[in-house]
Amino acid sequence: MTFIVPIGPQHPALEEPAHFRIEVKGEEIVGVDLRLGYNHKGIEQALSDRSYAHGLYLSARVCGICNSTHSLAFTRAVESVAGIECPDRARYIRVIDAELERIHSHLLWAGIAAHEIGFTTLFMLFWRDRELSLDMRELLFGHRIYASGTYLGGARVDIKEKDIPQLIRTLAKLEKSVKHYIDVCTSDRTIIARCSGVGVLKKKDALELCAVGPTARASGVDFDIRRDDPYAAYDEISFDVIVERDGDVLAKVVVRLREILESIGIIRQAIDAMPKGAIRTKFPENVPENEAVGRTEAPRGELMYYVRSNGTNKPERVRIRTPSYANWPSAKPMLVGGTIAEIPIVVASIDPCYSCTDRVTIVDAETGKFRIMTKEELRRLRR
Amino acid sequence: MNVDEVARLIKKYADDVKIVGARHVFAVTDKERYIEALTALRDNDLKHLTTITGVDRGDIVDVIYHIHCGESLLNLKLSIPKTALEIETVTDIFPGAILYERELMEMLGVQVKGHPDPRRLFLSDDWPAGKFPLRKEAKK
Amino acid sequence: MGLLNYFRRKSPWILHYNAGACNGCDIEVVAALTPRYDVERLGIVKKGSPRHADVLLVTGAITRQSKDRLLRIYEQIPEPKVVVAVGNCPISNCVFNGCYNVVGPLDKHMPVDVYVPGCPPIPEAIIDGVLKAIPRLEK
Repeated sequence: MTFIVPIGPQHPALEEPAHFRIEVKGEEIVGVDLRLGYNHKGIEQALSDRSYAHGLYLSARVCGICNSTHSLAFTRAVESVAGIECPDRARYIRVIDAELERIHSHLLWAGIAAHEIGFTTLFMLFWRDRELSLDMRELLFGHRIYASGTYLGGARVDIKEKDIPQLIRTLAKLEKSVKHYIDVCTSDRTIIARCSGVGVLKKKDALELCAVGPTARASGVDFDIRRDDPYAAYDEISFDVIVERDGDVLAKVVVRLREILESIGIIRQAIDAMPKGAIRTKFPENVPENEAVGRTEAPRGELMYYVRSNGTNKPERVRIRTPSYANWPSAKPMLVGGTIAEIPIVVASIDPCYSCTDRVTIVDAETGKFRIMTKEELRRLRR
Repeated sequence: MNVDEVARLIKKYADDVKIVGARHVFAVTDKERYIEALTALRDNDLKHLTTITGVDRGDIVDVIYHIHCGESLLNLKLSIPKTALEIETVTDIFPGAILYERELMEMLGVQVKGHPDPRRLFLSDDWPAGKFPLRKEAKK
Repeated sequence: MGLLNYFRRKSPWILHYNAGACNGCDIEVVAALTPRYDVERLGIVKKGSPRHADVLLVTGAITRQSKDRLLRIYEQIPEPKVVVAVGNCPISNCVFNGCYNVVGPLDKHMPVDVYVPGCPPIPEAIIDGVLKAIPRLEK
């Protein structure tokens, strides 16, 4: 059975309610099995049936939560294949788009995680503050969710001077809130009891199973595409890669909240350093034969697009590997050895991108009998 | 490892090594050498397999291993004829390859020998067997 | 019956099902519960079980794998019930039209009472859609 987080970040490309079959001995989990497929639509195939410009909008809709970073990775690969470089101003606009998205995505995740441990008030508070970042996406790019800041050859819209002061004021408000939340999450006894030492992913497992993003960084793996394969204007901006050592759910919470503070710092630097000038260069209709890879650091981790062109205006092949896809194998070592009541928060801690209302099947390893529990029943276990 | 170090390492096991941009390396290997190549990468502490891509080129299927090398990315290509569409699993070298190989099997029909769990991954249970969505034949 | 109608009108309970969505619409549905929009002040509650629901909110271009599950859920919701299609995907498949694993739009599989277009529609539009669906519960 796939265990579903209520409205999780979406798993791009092939995300859907995953089906977990959890083997238990009494309350303890001894085995985990995974079944994906409910959200599979056939996007990779569809991208090779559409022109590059048309495909840009489909690639964004692989995931509603990290859509800017998807279109950015797609654009990065396609611009490499076509040999096009976007103007400098566009590179900074892309950074602002991507970091605003990281802020909204991490606050969304924090709210869902709080809901999973029963702390509904905190869920409401996180999502109340998240509305501020969505207001900024709407102000600067015209849409709360699908900001679509990136376009082939540059940026879709320009950031206006008159909007900058409001952006700066909002960032200050967000910074104050997030600092408060970091204090709450590292000192509140309930949160620590539910998250500390729970769902541990050891560094060795994270490396072998090729985990990415905050899931890996919380286990001590120092890996961030913004620094290791820079894109947009990240090589001209200074920021810290947040790494924690314990690998438990609390470490993942801390990594994500501190990354929001880094994102706020990155946006401030981008506003100051953004040069004036054009925001787009011409993108050719037909792209000569070539192949290239475009990677970005999505809120959930390393996102990779591989594009092969064939001389026409449609790609020959587009391959998408999303961060949540990479992190699924890591769910197993995190769950095994834990209890059933921990399943909601541990699976949520990978920040899986998919939405579903699936249930979990619990198989009793000794009797072989299985029973299906709804998500609501699982949540009641933890109260 | 930077692009030059990766290019030097992979030259022993691959041909047509190209450095693209500041951080990407493309190389072409073959069935005889790819396991050695991947093992050499892992032994040099390069453990992160980003993903495995399959591309249908008509009579040939390209299987590309994308390995993150710290400061660079290596894209190692292997071409297999459709008449003998099988490769060995790499899950003993990169345990993280487990889901990518399952996807390769169901989307392109590549036989991955020795895979510990060769079940369907994304396609529904009622999807007809023998129909591979990412093959060129599927478009017709 | 008059009393039951009154309660349904004043406090409709919602079941939200994602039938293969990108999650954009789903997060706007959840945003409607949060302090800025706060649908609970209108009596609207989101429940987990089909047996408790009056309104079925469906998001997503219906995928093959999720279609049977969606139909089963629809059958489990007791009458009277209304169906609201949220977002462009259940209305017309949106950008996923032509994808091999998509079997939408939604009205091919079940009667739909209200269509809320948008990609995704803003929370106010979703709330408006649900409020438009409620009078149809009494018919």
